[in-house]
Amino acid sequence: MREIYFYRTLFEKLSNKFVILLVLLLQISILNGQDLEPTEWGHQPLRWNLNDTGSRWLAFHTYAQFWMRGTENNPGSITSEEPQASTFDISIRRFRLGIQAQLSEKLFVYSQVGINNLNYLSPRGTSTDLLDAYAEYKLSEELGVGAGKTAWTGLSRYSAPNTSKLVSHDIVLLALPTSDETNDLIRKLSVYAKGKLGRLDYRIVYSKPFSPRNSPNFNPELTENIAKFTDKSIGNIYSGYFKWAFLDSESNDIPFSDGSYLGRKKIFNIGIGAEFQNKALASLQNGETQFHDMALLAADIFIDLPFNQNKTTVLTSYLGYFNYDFGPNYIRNTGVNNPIISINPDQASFNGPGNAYPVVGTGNSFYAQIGYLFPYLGTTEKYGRLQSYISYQYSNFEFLSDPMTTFDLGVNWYLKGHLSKFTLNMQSRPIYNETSEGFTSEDRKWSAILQYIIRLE
Amino acid sequence: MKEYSNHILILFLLLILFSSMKGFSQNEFGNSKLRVYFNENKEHWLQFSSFAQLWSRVTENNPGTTVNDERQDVTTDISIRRFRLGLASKPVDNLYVFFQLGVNNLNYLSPRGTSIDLLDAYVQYELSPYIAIGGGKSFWNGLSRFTSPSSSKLMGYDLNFVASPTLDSTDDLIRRLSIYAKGKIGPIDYRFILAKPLSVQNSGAFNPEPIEGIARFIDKRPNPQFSGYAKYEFWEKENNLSPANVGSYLGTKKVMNIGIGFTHQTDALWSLNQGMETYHNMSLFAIDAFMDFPINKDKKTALTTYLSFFDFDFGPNYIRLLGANNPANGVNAAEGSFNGRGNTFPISGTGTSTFAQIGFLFESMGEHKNHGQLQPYLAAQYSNFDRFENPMFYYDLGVNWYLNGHASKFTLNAENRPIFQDTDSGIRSNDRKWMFVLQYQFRID
Repeated sequence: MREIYFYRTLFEKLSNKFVILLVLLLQISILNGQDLEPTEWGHQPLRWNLNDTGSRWLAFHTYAQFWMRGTENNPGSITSEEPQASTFDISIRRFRLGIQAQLSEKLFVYSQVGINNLNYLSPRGTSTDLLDAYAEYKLSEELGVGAGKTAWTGLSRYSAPNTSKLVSHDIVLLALPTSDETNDLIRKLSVYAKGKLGRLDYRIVYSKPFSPRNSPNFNPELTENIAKFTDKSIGNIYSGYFKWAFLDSESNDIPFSDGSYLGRKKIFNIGIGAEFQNKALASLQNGETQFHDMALLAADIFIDLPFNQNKTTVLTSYLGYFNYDFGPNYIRNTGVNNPIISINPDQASFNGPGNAYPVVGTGNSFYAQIGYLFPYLGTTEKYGRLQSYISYQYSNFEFLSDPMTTFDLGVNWYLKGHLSKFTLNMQSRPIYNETSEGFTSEDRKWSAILQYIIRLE
Repeated sequence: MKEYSNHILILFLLLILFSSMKGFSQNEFGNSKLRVYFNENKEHWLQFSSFAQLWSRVTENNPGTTVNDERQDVTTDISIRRFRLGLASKPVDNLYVFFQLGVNNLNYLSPRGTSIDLLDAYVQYELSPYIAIGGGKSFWNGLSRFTSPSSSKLMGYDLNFVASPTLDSTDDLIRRLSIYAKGKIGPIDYRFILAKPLSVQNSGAFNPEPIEGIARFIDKRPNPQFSGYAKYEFWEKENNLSPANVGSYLGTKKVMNIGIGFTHQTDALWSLNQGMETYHNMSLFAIDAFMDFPINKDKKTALTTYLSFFDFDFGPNYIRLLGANNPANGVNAAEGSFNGRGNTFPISGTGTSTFAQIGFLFESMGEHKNHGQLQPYLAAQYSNFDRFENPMFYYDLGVNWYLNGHASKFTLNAENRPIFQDTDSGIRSNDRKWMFVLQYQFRID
């Protein structure tokens, strides 16, 4: 009797506890909202539901890219009048803090603050800038319209790069021809339309260009037969990019294109794009001011194919062709996160100080990149994955007598996919000098970068 | 008894479950608020907010206006008028803190990398319902209702700038470093502020040379700035947790207030009087009336009106020119007017001003689907400034299209402003120009 009573009360107690447990579980699941696909960190995205169904939400992301670098400097590079053949430095290439929210089923807003190139030459108290602030109204899958300060732009795949999810250590500078000329860190004040018509993904953008006068490259003095961006232009920028997705389709929720899906998707795209601004540049022709339109064309192919069963090995390749017309002999030297900003003019090359080299100009260019992602190191996912890659740019710029070629050799070590990764990159760039045969390249320099990216999302 | 306690426990948990599903307060999108509660009775919380105002605009520029030294009569542009990121919290009883970062006027002429600045950082302690004291950088300001505007909940497309007479002269985007007391005593809502004015040396318009007969801000005698505002609330009471005064409650609140206020700073300006350096007090007075009257509570139709009178003494002939989010960066002196470049015009100065605004909120559009509410409005300012021979008069014609209240709205505004010229018979207005702004605003909170 006693035993029976004992079991009965035990059962009752357990059943009550079971109900309590069930209610508690239900509560936790509702408080956490819907289960989303976990990030590569293995936890739920930093996303809060704003309604019961989870169709409205707010999400945070932040990331930082740390660089440790050795640079063989261009000839004549100096710091406080002291020649610097090479420079070692540590810097923050990028820092971002972003909020995106789906406020209603159709209204999406995106804000991001950030900083680029916080290095040893930066002013004390480097301010954080407003990079993005835009709103988008999605009428349908076929058409969304938006406006604000945004990286929505046309031309090519990597004209709006997802800077924390690339294969190479940094962006494709060639794909950002107006960076800092009429942009603010590739952002513009724009109105845009975008959407997907079946397999066709398009974006069309109208922008009020930032005044070139505030560009660090701006030089108001016009030069004979060499086009320069002019602040006298009243032209607006029109750009577009259209790509055809043969296999999986990519998200077009935000403008940025990923460098590799690391096996999560099977992508094969072909795209074409253009960017145009009326009378964007000016030069002197026989002493007379003449304006030049900026007309840029691009065509590209992107392949990101997992090819074993577990999708742990991936071949990623990108090929872009760029036909740029900025007017006669336009050339643009860029030194990314430049470790040297002063130069001794007597010893200087055409490149300028530090790591600068001619990367954009009037003429034709090819850019190619190929990467191979190896399976996980060891038998667990703990040690991450390695990906080796090569990038190559070949440009026939009108201004230069020799073709401009750069190549990057690198390896990524993905600890948690793109969210925690190391990249080691070696870059070889040409040094141009003015000779009797024009601007020719006789020398090359290296730079080596070790990058760590951490991204929370 | 034990069985009951288990049932009660289950019931209690279920109750929490339902409250967690439905209990979140909602914002104008009908979404749950971005508010984290620290305790169960929801008295302690942390609230996140953000808003952005996107402008596309066509401006008839003032005479002689140039952009990068090229003559430009009309400018079309896209810009971000305001962007804000705010954090408000009541961590314990009686204590309130507010931090806000932001940017104004990010337009095509802005420097690359427009930094996001610390606009507000202040704490407030409530001693009793009658009095709370606070300090920090804030826009707790006296003078008039819209001297502390809730810039994302206005009826007009932008501030009424006559109510911000020290804007960027001794304050930073209407914020000052101050301590204040505020509270509600019956129907009276008051605020008194003691501010250390920001040094005018760092103002964009600063000119250290005094001139004959025209007052200018100077920082040689950095006296404190006193200001206050008190209003009598006839109908429903307004929230005074934050300094921000709402432009329209969109039919959700019945409000009628009459208020008076002042701002005073001793020796804030100077001029030359027959060659002698003479200091002038800044003594500003205002009186205003605000009414937000819901006509039909169900249809949420409402009449919103605001009327204010300002008597400003900055010293002799002081005039403040203001071009909000100016689309131009130069003026050709030979062709220029008194206004200066772009969209600038004399908004404030020694003299008297009357500002009036009236708007009507229509019911929601659409039979089956809510297509939002329209609110046409009219605003005008009439000023008799000492410096001018004839009055300064400008007006705004506008319409708000509220998709989700102030949280998602379009505003189309046409502003007509006078152009003043220096003539043989003094400075007088002889021409007028338009500016058309289409604004979209979103607010997350």
